[in-house]
Parts: sequence; structure tokens; C-alpha cells
Amino acid sequence: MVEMNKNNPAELVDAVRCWTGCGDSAMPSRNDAKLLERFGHEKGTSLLNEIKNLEDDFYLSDAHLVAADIQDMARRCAEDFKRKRPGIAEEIVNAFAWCYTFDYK
Amino acid sequence: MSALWTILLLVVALFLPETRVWGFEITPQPASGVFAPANPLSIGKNYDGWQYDASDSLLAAKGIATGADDAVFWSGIGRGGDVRAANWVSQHGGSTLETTMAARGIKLPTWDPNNAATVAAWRQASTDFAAGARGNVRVLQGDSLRIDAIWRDEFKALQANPNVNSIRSINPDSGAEVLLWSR
Repeated sequence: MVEMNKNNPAELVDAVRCWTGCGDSAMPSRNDAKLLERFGHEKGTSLLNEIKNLEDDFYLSDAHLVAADIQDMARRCAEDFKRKRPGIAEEIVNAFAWCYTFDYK
Repeated sequence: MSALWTILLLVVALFLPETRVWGFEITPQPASGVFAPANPLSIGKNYDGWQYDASDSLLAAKGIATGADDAVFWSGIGRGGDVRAANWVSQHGGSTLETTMAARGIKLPTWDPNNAATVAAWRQASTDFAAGARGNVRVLQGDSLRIDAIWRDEFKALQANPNVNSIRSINPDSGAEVLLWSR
């Protein structure tokens, strides 16, 4: 069941990128402390919970088992996630695909 | 004059089959697709950029090589694999590619699964890490291995590395160990 977003979509995009390190670091960082520092404890905790739910859904993808190569894996895991979370921001999809492909490279 | 040409031709004919060129021995090259074993010449050159290959491996110059029984690889262990592997080595000893790079200030280009050059750079760094390994090597592995996984290249490089004695797979969840290869 798709959980309703509790946070502002633009803020969620920002939070996902902050937490994963996508666009900022050479490889995924998953930095809880950085997120809490940026958004404050209350808001940060709410965002973190939502991010981890999204990540759980993203990692349900079996792209790493079926993809021919890394680029194919990136495409497949993104498509799997979009099917689970229709309307999800492309930036969030890309950030998690960045993490997923790094883990399964 | 014709005698001079005859002598010159004779000299050329005699030295043509030699593997030396002006006193320098030609370096034997591995066939295409074959990993050259690590040696002091193939590891230890400068690293400034992200497009490099094994024959011009610059990472090792900054010290990508590890001590005996130190190198730990990881592949297919799920979410946050590098952090899981880093936590594992902090408990059991050893160094991963990422912990080695962090400790020695080595930087690779930002990971980008859609950029072939970037993927190649990470693949090459991983292979160099294998070429600089020594002794008994460990790899943290889950239950499945991707067809095109970088670990496959690392495994070949480890086998071609004369300083490596064995490769052991460890499941970080169960602790189960399997000897994958030994010399």
C-alpha cells in the first residue's frame, strides 16, 4: 500500500539528495546526522522516516538479478520504483537508483 | 658502395628477430583480455584523474596496495554495501577499497551508472585494488552475484596476482565461509 506523503514534495526531494549525498558526494553516504542538522530534529526525523520507507520500496527491485549491465540495472530499478510509487519525483528516483547501482555494481 | 649496403642489410637481417630495441628489452604484454599480474612497474604511478587503465594505474602510486591478508572485497551484500563492509572490517580487520581510498585521500569520479567512463574508472580502481592485494583475500558476498558484477573482474585480477595465495568468500549475515580459490 502506498503511504501518503507527509512532507512537502520539494522538501522531500531536497532531503533525499541531502541524505543520500546524490549530487554532492562521489558515492552514497546515507547521512542521518547531516539530514537532521539541515532540517532540525523534528522535521528531519519525519523526513528520515519517509525517506527510509521510500528506500525500502526501491530496494524491493530485483534489477540486480536480471540486468545485463549497470546501465540496464539503473533503468530497471527506476522503472520498478516508479510502478510502486506513481508520480514520485524524478530526482528521488535518480537518487535511489544512484545508491542501488552503487551497491550492486 | 655495394659492399657497404650488403653489410648494412646483413646487420638488419641479424637483429630483426631480436626482442631488444636499441638495448632495451621489449616488455612482454598480456594478450587482450588477460590481466597482467601486479608488479612494481604496473602499480605505483600517479593518479590525478579518473580515466586510467591498468598499465597506467595511478591509484597505486598513492598507495592503493594493501598489506598481507588485509584486502577485503564486497559484492552483492545489499543496501549500503560499502558501509556494511567498512563496519565488518572494523570488527574483523582488513581494508576495503573505499576505506583505503578514504584513509589515503584517493578520490574517484562521482558514481554515475549512466556514464560508461565513470563506471570504467570504478571498475579499474577495483581491479587495481585486487592487483595490489597480498596473501589471503576475503570477499563479503550475499547469496547472488550479478552477471556483470565488478567482482568478476576483481576475481580475475586476484587470480593473476602472484602475491595472492587464496580467496575466501564470507557471508556477512551468517558468517559462513567458502574457499573460492587457492594457489
